[in-house]
Amino acid sequence: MRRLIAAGAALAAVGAVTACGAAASSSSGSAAAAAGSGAASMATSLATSQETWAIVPMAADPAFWQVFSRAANSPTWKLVTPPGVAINGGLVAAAGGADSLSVAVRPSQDLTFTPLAATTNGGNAWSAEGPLNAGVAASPDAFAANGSRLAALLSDGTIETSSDAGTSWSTLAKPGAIAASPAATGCGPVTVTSLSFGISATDLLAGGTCGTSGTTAVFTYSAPSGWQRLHLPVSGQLRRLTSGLALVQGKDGLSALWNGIGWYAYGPPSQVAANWATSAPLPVPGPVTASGTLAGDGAWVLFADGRAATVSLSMRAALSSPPAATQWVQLPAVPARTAVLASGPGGATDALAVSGSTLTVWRLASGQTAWSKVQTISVPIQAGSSG
Amino acid sequence: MPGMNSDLSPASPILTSAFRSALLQQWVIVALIFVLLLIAWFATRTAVFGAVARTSRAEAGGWHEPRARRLLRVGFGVLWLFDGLLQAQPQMPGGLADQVIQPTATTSPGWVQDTVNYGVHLWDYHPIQAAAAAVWIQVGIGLWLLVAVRGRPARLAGLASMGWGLIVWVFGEAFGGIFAPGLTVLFGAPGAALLYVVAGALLALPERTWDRPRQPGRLVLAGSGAFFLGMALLQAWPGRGFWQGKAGGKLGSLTSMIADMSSTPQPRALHAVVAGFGNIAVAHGFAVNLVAVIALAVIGAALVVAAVRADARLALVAVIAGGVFCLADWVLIEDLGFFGGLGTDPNSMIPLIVLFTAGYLGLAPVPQRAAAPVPVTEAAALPEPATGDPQPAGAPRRSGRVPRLAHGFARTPMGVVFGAGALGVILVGAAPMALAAGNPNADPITAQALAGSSAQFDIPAANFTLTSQHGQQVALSSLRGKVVLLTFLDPVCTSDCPLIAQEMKSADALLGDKASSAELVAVVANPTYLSTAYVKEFTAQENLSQVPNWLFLTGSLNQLKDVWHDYGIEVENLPAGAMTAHNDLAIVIDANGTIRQELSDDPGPGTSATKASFASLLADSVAQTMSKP
Repeated sequence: MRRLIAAGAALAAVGAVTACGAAASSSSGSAAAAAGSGAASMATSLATSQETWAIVPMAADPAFWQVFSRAANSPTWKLVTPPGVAINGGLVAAAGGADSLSVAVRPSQDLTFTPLAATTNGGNAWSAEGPLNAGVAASPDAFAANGSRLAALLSDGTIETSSDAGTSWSTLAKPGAIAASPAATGCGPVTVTSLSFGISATDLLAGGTCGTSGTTAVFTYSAPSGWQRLHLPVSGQLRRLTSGLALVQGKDGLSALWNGIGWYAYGPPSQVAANWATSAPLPVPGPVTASGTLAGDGAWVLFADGRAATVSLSMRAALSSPPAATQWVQLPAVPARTAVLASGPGGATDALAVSGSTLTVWRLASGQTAWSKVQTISVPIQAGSSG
Repeated sequence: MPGMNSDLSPASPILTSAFRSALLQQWVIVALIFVLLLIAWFATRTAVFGAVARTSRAEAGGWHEPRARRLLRVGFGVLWLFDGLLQAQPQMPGGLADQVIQPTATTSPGWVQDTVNYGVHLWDYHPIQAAAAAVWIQVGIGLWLLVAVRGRPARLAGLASMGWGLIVWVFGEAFGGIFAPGLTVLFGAPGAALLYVVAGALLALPERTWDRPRQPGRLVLAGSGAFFLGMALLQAWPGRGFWQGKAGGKLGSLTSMIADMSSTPQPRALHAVVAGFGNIAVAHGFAVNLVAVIALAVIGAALVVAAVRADARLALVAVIAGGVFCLADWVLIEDLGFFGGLGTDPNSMIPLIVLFTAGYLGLAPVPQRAAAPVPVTEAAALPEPATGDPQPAGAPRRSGRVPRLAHGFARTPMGVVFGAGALGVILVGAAPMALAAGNPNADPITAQALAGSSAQFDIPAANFTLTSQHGQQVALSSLRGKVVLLTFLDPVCTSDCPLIAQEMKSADALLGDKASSAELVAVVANPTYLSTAYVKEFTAQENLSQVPNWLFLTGSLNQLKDVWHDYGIEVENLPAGAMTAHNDLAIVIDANGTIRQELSDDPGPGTSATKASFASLLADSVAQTMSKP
């Protein structure tokens, strides 16, 4: 009998190898590490005036998500992953201030709620916050912070908010609540994928799709008026909505729109809500595998074929009359296995490439055409410790 | 450590020792059954007939068992005996279900997997009883077939072979893989156990069917031939991977099977032969499969033609060719089938040879022999019991005072007595298993095998005061009067701690009324996520809010460090996104505040069986502590 069984196992193995081969062939290029699955799109970076943060999946099966940071005045990156919790389910980060970051740890295996961790000193020390009593959604924009105000999108579509750094949470919108509001009239089912605090400290933006066509829908919530729909100057499908930055895939390419914190300096909210600083479309075909924000109101995108581009949105240009469209800057092909891009020092762009448990930092100095390897970080992943 | 799960090793000394002990005890019972039966039989015969009589053919009824039937009966009797002995290999309790049976079904449809999992569940919950049952049931059937020559006992033995064979085929072989892709006779399809079923069915036929053995013989030959032809077609079917020795850098279906077989522990010479043939198959995969297809087709056709024409000579040629082919397959591809520590039978080729050879013997004419006089013993010559004295020499004595039942028993042939003993052997294995199957709780032996032996203590438990999930201060000393099951859990742990919590919850349920005298206490084992909000969230996650005697305690980091130190718990944050490392330990504190037991509660693989087994172990530990003064 054992032999018959072994035969079955051998045949099953043949089938498994075939399946893996098919899966492997579907991803290629330098962004393969970030393109493997939907969860991998949570790889991102975000920048504040004092710190740049990168959220990067390392190793594989299970992935160990890591947090790296670089102080604005430092050329080097350091590993600052929050301790004490398994991070195989993924991390969703939100910058709550110049030097602070809040991280929602997506639950994995038998954990069903979301532990929260926060740092206010660039990742040198972390404290526990929260928790959220359910799993946070698998989106890089499912978690937003503005000082001690937090907002979280749960896996089932519920939107929760906290005004005391996660100590207590209240439900802002249950699944279907936005679709049922007057703001979504004619929209049909609304699927929220992103949360972002808006131009006012009390505004919350919820981005996603409207109806079955996947048309971009962005709603803003402020008490007591409730949900209102924002109309963007670019039509298409929403890729990201984070810290006031929106990436919209239109028929002519990818556009970046900015309407974030600080925008109020250029006019009252009622005026600027309808005025987004908008880039020209980036006509690069193929899916975006990762994206994020750069210091100075910029954004980066990484494509499956290894191409990458950055954009810096000029508010003054946007406010000029007529508004001047900002152009994307296409970068040289990124180094192999690049997972995310991030702001480098002095206006440079950094590419963070992952190979097993090693992170390699490549830097493209401003005005240069070639990437230079500047740092290697060996991450002490505890294989078998979880997952 | 959480997340660093240890799997259950089939070679676990605790499991193997318990299995050996169970087999030994049951062996004593088996021996007693036979000794008592034989003593009773001889004593009764002596009492009835006044002398120990020999069994004779006349006593057995004077029936010449056809050669075909005898081969089936003895052949499969020996096979069952051999299989039973293989089941006694020490790794069976911990390895058979999870490492052999369950993987068999992985490529089969869901309903097959569900069916097989029922058997796996039963085995995993009661591994010692199940493994021992398999030994004695198969040994018993083997003995029964060997000694029960004719009559109802023989037919019942056939039915037993059929019934147990079906159970093995369904639950042990996942229907022989006939619903899975890659079916081929070369690997053992359609399952050796199905051949035991067929043989059992043939032996269960009425004796009058065997009085003319040509008919069952032709039936067996025709069936075997049709089977060979069907398997030839399957073997030749394109796209099933059998025509390639190696394709695209990967081994073909046949060659990967051979490579897998050659890697199992076995004698070096056999490994060399199988590996050598594997190299040939890699290099000449098409030719090897072509030979197999042609051989199967030709042998199959010859068997069918021989059966239809009742051509004994052709049948002999086909049977010899089939035997050679099957033996070659058995050695070169099936690798004899039983090496490696978890082999349960010699696979399909030997029973297949026995089956079609019996078909030939049924068809072939019996060689003429001079009629030998039937030896008649005194017992056979004895008249029916009569009343009155004096009795003639050799006649039953004292029949008037010996009950009729004793007369019947005294006249029972020895084969039937042995058959009754064999039935007793089956019951020795089956009865404990049947009792275990009715028990929904798992045997704690699996947990003991995972956790190792518990340590006994008699030392005062260090007191502490911490905050519960309800926000209330709780001192350990305030729980005096109850037995405390103390453990240390990380509220954001993703693997072990939720399992341990569930095992404690199940243990609480197993304690029943005694649970009111027990307290389940967990202390936080995480230096970062230690707020009351986290222990409350963990409690809700594990549905422990409704368990009245559940406490998840926390405090400041300094308070927790003191408790960890007092109880020898090491807690450490690991870098790069790993879970917090800490000991998985359960401590049983008696009602007077004295530590009585300490055991590892590392839940291992966290299967339904291991969880249930740990729950039984924890409940037993608490109940034992309660029962001690």
